[in-house]
Amino acid sequence: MTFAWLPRAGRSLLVLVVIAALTCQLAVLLPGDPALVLLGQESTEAQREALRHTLGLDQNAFVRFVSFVGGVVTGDWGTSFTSGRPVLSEILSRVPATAELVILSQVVALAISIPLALHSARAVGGRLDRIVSTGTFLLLAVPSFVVGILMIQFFAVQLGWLPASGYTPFAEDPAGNLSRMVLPVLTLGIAEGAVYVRALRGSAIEALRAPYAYASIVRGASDSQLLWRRILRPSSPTLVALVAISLGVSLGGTLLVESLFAIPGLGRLTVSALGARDLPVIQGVVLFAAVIVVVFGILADIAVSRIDPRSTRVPV
Amino acid sequence: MNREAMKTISSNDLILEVRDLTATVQRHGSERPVIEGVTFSLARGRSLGIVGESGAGKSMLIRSILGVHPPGVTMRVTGEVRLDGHDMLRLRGRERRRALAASVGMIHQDPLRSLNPTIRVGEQLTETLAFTGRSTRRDRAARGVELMRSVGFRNSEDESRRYPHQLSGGQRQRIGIGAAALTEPALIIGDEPTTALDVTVQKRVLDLMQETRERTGSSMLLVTHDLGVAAERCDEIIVMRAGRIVEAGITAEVIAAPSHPYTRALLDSIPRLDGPRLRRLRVPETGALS
Ligand SMILES: Nc1ncnc2c1ncn2[C@@H]1O[C@H](COP(=O)(O)OP(=O)(O)OP(=O)(O)O)[C@@H](O)[C@H]1O
Ligand SMILES: [Mg+2]
Repeated sequence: MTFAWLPRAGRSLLVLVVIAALTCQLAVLLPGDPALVLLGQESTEAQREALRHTLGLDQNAFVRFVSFVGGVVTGDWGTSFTSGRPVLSEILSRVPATAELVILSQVVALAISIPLALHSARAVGGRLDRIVSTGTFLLLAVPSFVVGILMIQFFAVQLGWLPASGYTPFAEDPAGNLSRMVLPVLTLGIAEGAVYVRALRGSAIEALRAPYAYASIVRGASDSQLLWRRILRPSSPTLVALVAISLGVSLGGTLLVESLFAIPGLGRLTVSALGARDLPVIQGVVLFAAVIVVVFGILADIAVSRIDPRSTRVPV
Repeated sequence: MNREAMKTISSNDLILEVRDLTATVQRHGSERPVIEGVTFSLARGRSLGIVGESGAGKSMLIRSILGVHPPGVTMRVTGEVRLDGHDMLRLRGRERRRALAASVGMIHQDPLRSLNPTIRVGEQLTETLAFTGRSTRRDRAARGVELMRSVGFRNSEDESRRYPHQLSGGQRQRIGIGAAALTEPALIIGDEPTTALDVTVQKRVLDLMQETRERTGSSMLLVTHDLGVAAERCDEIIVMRAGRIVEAGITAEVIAAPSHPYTRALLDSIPRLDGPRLRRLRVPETGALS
């Protein structure tokens, strides 16, 4: 076996180190005296001195970096200013809500976008294709929270079918959990789906123009056999990469949708930490999001290399 | 073979009958004819070459016969096509797909691009069975290996699990031939099957097509812009230009006494060993054609 995966792993590690370095300098990067900014004018000098010490501001940047990374690796991510709880457990307690929202919305996005993209690619310029193209364009032009507000108005307020917001853990009340998830999942899923339709439709049109599509049709493939068994796979590398990026980014928190639907996920944790200038939590969520993006980047590479056998990318 | 062609053939012996076939491409509200009033027939077991310059409509003729239009192009096809007893222009859906799968084996121009890059060749070779019948994956795998052996793969067990990019150009085209022979179709169609191959491989591929035909008893429609290839491999020849047939007949007769100036120009353009190798196709003024 070769060590061809080493460069890729090295790059991922480099990204993480750079982000960790920037994160642990956040306090210093803030304008003015960080302790003053964080604690406010009414604080006493003794309080500020204590804070400088907790943040390691009385040490030089390198020492601070080393102890920050050391803490991260050993599971000590600091303590939240506002709740007094460890940052890591603060973050982990928010993961289930965000993860459920993001994963379900990806499932919805793919379930809607793949059939639409394939079938509109098959009849390019046809009625379905025109409707799909206009519809996705519209959705891309409208911010997702507008879609969310409209859905709340329609399904929650007017029809009263679904709760407008809130979150119940699945383990406590499965039905309540799912009914509260429907609208945020649709809001996010539709927005993602619009992007996916565009990407997959383009690649599928290209694949359908290739002589191998002609060959499969002459060999008796029906439309659905052609699209699902012969066109989807060669057209999907771009889609897979997009899904991985989107998963990576949104698992770090979906600010707008979580705020709109009052879901206690990572996005809301970030917003409240920013509002309260809760520096350890801010550092924690930034680093957590970075790790997830890097991990999904690697997963995307593996997936793409599996899908396209020509790919010379190394499965890490 | 040539003697047989002289006798009148009852339509039951015809594998392909094309009558007054016209195809138009619709674009921005206007219609452009790409095939105009084409009529010809092909008897069982015989081979027909379709020659003509680039853009003459050879590929469009094949597509119109099969009813497989280029994606995103709206076409209107009129006339009559009878292929192995099937009324191709009227068949729809499942029946049309079955007719295609059972009666036609097609070899395409570009051996690489006509193979799906993401599917193992053994599986592609036998995909007709997967599309139209009830067959198990294992049966198809065995059939693929056997078929690959019959088109000259020595290590076919192993090679059937390769992806197209892992084969050479000639090997890829042999996959194409194997796939075309799978159902022992009544008609094998080659649309410039050797154009993308280098000269030494060309001959081997054509020989293999011939062998396959002899084994399966198929007729052949061979599209080529090389009149020399058509002359060597086909019983009859059709010369196309601008969507129409300008000359048709038994190969030897067409070659010996081309009645149309365009055919003569095509003949002149065949490189000969004793002549200058690079001679351009000199096409007579269109006035002489119509
Ligand atoms: N996808 C398409 N959309 C619209 N018109 C097309 C398309 N493909 C071919 N045509 C037109 O149909 C006519 C016949 O083209 P065709 O491809 O059948 O030529 P050909 O004889 O096969 O040429 P070649 O030897 O280059 O393959 C040409 O005028 C061409 O412009
Ligand atoms: Mg052609």
